Amino acid sequence: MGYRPKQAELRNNNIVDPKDTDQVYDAYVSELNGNIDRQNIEAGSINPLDCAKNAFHSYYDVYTKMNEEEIIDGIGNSTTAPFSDVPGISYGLYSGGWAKCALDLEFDAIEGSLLLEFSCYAYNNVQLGGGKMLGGGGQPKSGIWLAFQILYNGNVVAEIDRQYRPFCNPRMAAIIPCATEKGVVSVRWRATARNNDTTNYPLTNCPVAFWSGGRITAINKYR
Amino acid sequence: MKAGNRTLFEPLAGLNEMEPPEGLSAQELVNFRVEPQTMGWDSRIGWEPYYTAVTTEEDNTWGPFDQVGPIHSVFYWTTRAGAKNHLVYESDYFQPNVKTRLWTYQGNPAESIIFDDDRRVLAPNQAGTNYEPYGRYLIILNGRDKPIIWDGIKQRTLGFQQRPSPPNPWEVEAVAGTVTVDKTNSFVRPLPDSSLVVETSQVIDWEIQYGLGSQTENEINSYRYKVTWVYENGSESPISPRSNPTTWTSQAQGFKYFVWLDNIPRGPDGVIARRIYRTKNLGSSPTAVNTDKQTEEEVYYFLDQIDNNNDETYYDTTPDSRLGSLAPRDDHSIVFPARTARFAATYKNCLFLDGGEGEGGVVYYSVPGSPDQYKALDFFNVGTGNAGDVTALKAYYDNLLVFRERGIDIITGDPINGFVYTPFIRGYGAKSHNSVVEVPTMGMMFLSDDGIYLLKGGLKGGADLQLQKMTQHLQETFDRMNTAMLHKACAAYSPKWKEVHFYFPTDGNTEIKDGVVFHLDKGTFSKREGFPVSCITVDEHGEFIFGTPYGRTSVNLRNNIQGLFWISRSRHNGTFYQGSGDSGRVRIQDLPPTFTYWSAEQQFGFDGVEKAPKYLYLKLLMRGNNKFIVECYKNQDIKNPIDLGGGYTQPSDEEAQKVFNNPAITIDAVPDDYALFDVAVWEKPSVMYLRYDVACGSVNSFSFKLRGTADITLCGYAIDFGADGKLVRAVRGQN
Repeated sequence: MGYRPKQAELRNNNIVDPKDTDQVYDAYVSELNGNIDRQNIEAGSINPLDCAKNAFHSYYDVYTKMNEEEIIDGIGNSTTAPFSDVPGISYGLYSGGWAKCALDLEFDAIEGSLLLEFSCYAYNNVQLGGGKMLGGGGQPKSGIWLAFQILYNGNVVAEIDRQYRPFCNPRMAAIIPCATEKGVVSVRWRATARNNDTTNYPLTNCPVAFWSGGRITAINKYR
Repeated sequence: MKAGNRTLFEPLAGLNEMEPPEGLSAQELVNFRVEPQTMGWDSRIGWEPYYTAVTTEEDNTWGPFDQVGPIHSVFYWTTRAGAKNHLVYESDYFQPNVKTRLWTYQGNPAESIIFDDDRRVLAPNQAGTNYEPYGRYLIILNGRDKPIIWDGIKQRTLGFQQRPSPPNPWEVEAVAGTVTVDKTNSFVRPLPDSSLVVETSQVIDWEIQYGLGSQTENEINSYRYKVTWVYENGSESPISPRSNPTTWTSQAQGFKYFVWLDNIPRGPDGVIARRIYRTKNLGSSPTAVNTDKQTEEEVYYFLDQIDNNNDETYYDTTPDSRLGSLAPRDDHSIVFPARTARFAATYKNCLFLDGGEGEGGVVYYSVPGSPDQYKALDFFNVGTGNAGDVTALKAYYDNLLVFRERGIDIITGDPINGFVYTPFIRGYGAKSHNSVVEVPTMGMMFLSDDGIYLLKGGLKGGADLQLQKMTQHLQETFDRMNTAMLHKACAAYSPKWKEVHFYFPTDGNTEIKDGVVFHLDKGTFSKREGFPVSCITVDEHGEFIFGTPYGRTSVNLRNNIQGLFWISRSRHNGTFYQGSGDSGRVRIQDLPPTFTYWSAEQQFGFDGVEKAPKYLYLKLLMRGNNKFIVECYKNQDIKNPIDLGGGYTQPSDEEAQKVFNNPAITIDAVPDDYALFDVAVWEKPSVMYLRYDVACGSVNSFSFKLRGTADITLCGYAIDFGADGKLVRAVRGQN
């Protein structure tokens, strides 16, 4: 109940007594500290639209990219060719299958929902003119693709199917429920698997694909 | 001056109206409370409006109490662990003799909302409404208007005010293919087993063939129905009379039939389901059981429950073998018997009600768990020993106390083994349901015709139920009590103040002006004057909330006192309405209630020997620059009080303690200083003696009186006197 009668009254000519003085304010302070209820709050003061706009949440993000040790030198076929500065993976270090990035997003999730988003830029070595793959002795293949997955605590929650285009900005998002727990969001990527034919698909000096500039964002809305 | 003898009087006791009052008690003790730190009498009480902001609002209304006339009852109901509370009160319409209303007070925005309107006006000998929590409901009764059961959200009338009417089963057209008005033509033909192809893994029970009636040609089939209503709390209404029979003759094809029911009665507000009961096939004798067609009473069984209060029709396809348990008997639930019940009590899961003004000698009780359902024989006739009507029902410990005008009875037992009604005491009773209050650690205190009594103990395990009069020494006050108006008396206990308040009309008045307070800390009484309490309740924090018999009584005028008030530490004596029209304002009375402490007559041993009091020491908690009147009386001569003067309640020889003061007010008397935050030092109020010179010569008995409006805490007193052994001269009295 929000109302209180006077617990003490400071009157003229009474001595400055701590108990009486404090009781005047304590009543209001205790009201604010634990007795705010429908008697104190104006009716209809908090509506669902307000809640939606200002729902409690946290957000986290992290930069992510392919692991350095998997990357060799440029896709371009010469030092002056286009994209010669763009590095890429090679079959010497990558044979196929899902590879997980080392740069994860870690945070403490609060029970509610998680909006997870990942985006990056990506190159496939399927350009006309062969590129470095040709220069390295290989053949540019139209069959090179990249695919991505977002994992939350080890579970796949979103996936981008194979992207065949030479340049693209893959982006995916998912909204999942979460508990109050340690949350780890990671990204896995996958490219066309290694071919037995190492003449056309050399193991070295032949970058296949590349992605970087990745950002993992998580927005955690509390229940 | 050396006095010779000193007598100390502490700790102080309470009010004592014996002649002459002696020792530590007081002849008058008005408007005090017990200060727990010192166990002294503290004058810091007052009363202020429940909606405290009404005195600061810049409009001419009484805020949430603007339309409120005199208040007759108030109740504070806490639910949901104090998170949702309801303050319900009953007042007259703001014009007299029109109607009364029940209001609930809503805090935000502060307003009173009409809960029930157009209620009957009280006669002078009638009391206000009573409120009794029962589980998650509040039962609201006054014996004049409909009894209400309220769950905090919705309200309805308590009990079933009527029996349901029977449903109407349509006739069944037995011959397939014909259609006749007013008959159902629904029949089902049992399928031979071979016509259905099922998987071997499925089990289908073909022994139950749905539909009513016999499959034997030319057999007569006949059924009757009854209906009950069900409230959300499970209470079931009286069962309806039986319906007309529906009858048909079975055909050669061996059909079974469905029966269409309509006119299933919808229940009153609050009914959430209807239950339908049906006989088994009564055959050719519509009043007989299947086996014996001549003499058996028809028996009803549970058919189905319609889970709403809307459907008026039902399609009955249930064969006899699928009927449920027996229907309730006619006496398992009756029309609400206590239509003029004035009060209620909850005891052993049953709701107990009195019979009302017309049936003052009856107590009804409900089925356990179902406050709306009453069995035909569940009541007590209480007319033994001419103890008068039932005036209150209170559950206490393992008994239900039935207070009567001149007696107390007890109900013990439980709903399974049965309740037992036992007369207990004759001669003492209570006249008002509101003047009986349970006091923790003590028992049940109640106001009878001649004082306050305490009922304590129990009947289990060899314990005793004892009755004790608490106010033998307050006979003068209770002699002034207006016993014809005792139905208006009210009482409440506060765990916070540790006080039990009793208010009752005195001196022939019809309204309450004074009260008597029992202080648990000291086990004694004091009086309250100037608190216009007509009804009182206690909130979940132990604060007293009371209504007043004033309030608005005209369209154009607002009263000085209107609505609900707190008893608080507010040093104000209520409110007044200043001005009129648009410029009128509700104002708080600046002056506090006046306190009075008149000590006992001190005779220092023997009245016959004269003594000369020299000094009076008052043992006070030093509170600052507070001044009050100190007078003394010589030889009980109340016509000529002697003023002893006196100073402030500051320590005599020490530096004056800092006080709160308005610097704009220049007070000529010192000590005087004001306390600034961050500058002044906290002061400790301590108990010290103030000495007053007494110059009244030799006396046989001496008493003194303190009165005023200041803040004081009196912890004790001492009197220095000289005794020279001189005997008083006159023994025979004057010629």
